[in-house]
Amino acid sequence: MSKIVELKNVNFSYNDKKVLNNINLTIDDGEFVGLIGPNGSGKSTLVKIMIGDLTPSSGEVLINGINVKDIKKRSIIGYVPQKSYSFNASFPASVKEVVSMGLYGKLGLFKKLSKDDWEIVDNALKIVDMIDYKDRLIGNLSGGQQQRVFIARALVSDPKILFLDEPTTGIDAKSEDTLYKILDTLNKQNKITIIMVTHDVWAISDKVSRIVCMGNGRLYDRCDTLDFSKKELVEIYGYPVKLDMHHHQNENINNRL
Amino acid sequence: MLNIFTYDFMIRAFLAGGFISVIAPLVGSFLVLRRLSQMGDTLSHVALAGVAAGFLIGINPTIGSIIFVILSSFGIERLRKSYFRYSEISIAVVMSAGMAIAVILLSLSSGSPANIMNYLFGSIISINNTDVLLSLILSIAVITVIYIFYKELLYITFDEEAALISGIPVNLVNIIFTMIVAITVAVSMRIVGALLVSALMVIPAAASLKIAKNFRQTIFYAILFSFISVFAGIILSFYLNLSPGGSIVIVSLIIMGLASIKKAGN
Ligand SMILES: Nc1ncnc2c1ncn2[C@@H]1O[C@H](COP(=O)(O)OP(=O)(O)O)[C@@H](O)[C@H]1O
Ligand SMILES: [Mg+2]
Repeated sequence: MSKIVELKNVNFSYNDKKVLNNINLTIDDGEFVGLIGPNGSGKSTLVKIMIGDLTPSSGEVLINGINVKDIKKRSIIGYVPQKSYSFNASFPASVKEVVSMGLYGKLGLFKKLSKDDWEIVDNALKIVDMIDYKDRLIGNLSGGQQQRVFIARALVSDPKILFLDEPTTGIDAKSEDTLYKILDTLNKQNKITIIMVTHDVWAISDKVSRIVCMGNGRLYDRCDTLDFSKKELVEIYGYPVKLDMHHHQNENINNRL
Repeated sequence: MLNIFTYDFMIRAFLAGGFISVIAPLVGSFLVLRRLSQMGDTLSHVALAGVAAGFLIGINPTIGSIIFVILSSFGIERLRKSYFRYSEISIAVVMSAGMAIAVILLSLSSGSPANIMNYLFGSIISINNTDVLLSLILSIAVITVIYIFYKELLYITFDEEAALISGIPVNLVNIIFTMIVAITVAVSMRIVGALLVSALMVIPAAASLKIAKNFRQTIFYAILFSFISVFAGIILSFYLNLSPGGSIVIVSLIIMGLASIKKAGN
């Protein structure tokens, strides 16, 4: 398997606040990685570093072996930002129009969308099962539906890697299920490497191929074994975590491992 | 009844009015959706200073106002960054600065007060062929630029950060858009007057928002409503001897009311 994402000794600070502390991470082509950790631990910052939106103060970020800042074909990176549905909800754009935006950067200035491009938009909407809503106003959809539209927007540029930042926040359990099914298909059938942020430790453990944990700006690579002692969890999370909260899922994981 | 179309000055009014009825809401729709409705108002005050400067140094007032408005919009951007958390300060400060400079320049210039009244309240009768030609050329420029950068403008208006991440040259497009706004304000104030420029940029777009089902429709209805407002407003003002700028805005408000009722009825 080839490495698709590689972070080497990455450090990052906002002004003088250190947020990422010597991060090393390697993700192989085809993986589905869950990135977990409490609020404020630096997950979103790490994702923005990986997509090249933020520049590390030291260290290297490589995508397919190339420094993320030097990538010509930026369209290989798909990104669904945290709370992407906190945009102006009364914005008069149709679902189709919103999804088509994912193609604009790839097309470049002075180029209009062609018939083929609109077909690509339709296909992405079919993948996320939102094709029936393509002429609806984006603001008239539920949170889960909007999230699927934003995933479609990330898909139209035909990415090899898809970053999702807390895609399930604020959507109901049923929409969450649909979302995980879609992501599973994208990962297994479309061969897209997925890196998904969530702060829910348990919800994703049986959905992803690997989990990495963030805490206090550091990355912990061994939380996929789920054998933390309470003391270690306190260290990572900065506060005591109840291990017995999600009994059911916890058991599943233990059986699986 | 007098036939409105037998007068050359009315023909000129319809021509110039027709041009601005397209560009004002075209640009205004983007401003409204970027929550910059106040921008047109501020810039038209600055444009007034440009008109005064034009009188003073003897250049075409429309050209003078375009230069002033472009300069001030970069001033707004600057102030907006230094007052990051109170960005509306920048708009208020620039509006005051524009008015202050306009008043001072006017007191210096010997130009007749009637002239400046034309720019404050708009005047159809005083439009000459040069004005018509200038507004035609500038309108074509505005429409062309928006056509060319339509998709980038849409994305930036919808979500500026996402647009930047996806590789859209946001700063470049923003600078170009600023200049387009400046031109639109300068051209429109000749017809509806500085005090009502922003009305024509904002009200048709606001009406359109009530019924549009996508972004393309938003722009289309805004232009349609504005077109109707300008033509009906000019005709009303001619026969009833009212202020044309005021009549245009009142018609646009009526349309906005109707659009709201239609929305409520749905
Ligand atoms: N733009 C910013 N400027 C300054 N500090 C920030 C900014 N964004 C995030 N932070 C801080 O960096 C830390 C990590 O934030 P973030 O990466 O958003 O964490 P997470 O996504 O895990 O909740 C937090 O303490 C947050 O307050
Ligand atoms: Mg976050």
